[in-house]
Amino acid sequence: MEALRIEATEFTPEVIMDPASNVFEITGESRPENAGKFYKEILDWLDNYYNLRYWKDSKFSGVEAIFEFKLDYFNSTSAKFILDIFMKLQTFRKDEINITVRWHYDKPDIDMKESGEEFAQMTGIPFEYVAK
Amino acid sequence: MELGLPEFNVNFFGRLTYFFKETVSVNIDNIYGIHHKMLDEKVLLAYKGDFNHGIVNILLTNAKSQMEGLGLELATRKKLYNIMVECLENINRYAGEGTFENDLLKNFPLFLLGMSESGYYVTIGNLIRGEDKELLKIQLDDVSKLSQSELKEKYRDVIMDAKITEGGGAGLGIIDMAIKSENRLEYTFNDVKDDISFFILEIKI
Repeated sequence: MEALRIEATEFTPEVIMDPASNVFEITGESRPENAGKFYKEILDWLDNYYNLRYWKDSKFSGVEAIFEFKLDYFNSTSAKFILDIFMKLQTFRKDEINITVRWHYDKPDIDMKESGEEFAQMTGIPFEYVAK
Repeated sequence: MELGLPEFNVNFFGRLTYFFKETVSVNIDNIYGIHHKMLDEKVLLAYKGDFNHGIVNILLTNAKSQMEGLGLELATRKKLYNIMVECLENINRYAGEGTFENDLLKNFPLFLLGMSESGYYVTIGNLIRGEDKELLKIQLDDVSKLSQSELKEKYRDVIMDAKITEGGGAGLGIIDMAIKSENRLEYTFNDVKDDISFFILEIKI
């Protein structure tokens, strides 16, 4: 399976989804002109990752994955799709893919930290918070 | 023609409506008046004209460097940036390029970022169609009644339930702005013609 790599633009984040290391990263600013289209690629990739692992390994136990969320900013439309990503990760966790979500934020940016806490509460995924 | 000084007993909101009405036709005589009015209102960034994704990007880039240049704290800059994005995307949604006919073009959207006595404000003004106004007004009226904790609850409900279309419209942006602002959102709908109004929204932090 190929890694998914999307380069950052002024209004879309950099995305790296690496199936070899099981490290996923979203970095930068998210206010795409077409958020549905932008996030569909990521959500589809995650579905494919899940299905491949499932059929290839027949079970997931022992897979350790890390999702690094390093967004500086996301708009309200992106928020809906970010929630979709977390919902997906939550189903992965139920199937014993041990995903750790690390939520990065600028230390003074309390709003960003609170957004992370909201997502964690809504999805039931425990987040690690990383202040920089 | 000379524009009068703003009256201090009138809130900024009223003055903005006045400002807008008085400056629709710009000519050489009142440019200096407009300039002064902007200084009085501590406007940091102002734009009036057509809107599209490119313009939104330019305004945001501009606002970012303005805020950095003025030495605003990071938390304030991020809060304002957040509010500005939602505001500008709203303008684009309701009154972007090509939405209205030629005879209404003098009502180009308006965007202001400025300083107030207690902090900062973002103000937008744009035409809006009757059918869009109906939903927007319900959302704004609803959000205005909610406390900070009720707003967060509402945000959770909407993001979990809502089908967000490409044009947005689930009202998530409005709830988000109200949460970030921690102030009442001020807004008016001013009749223009038929079922079209000029919508003004002011968000303070």
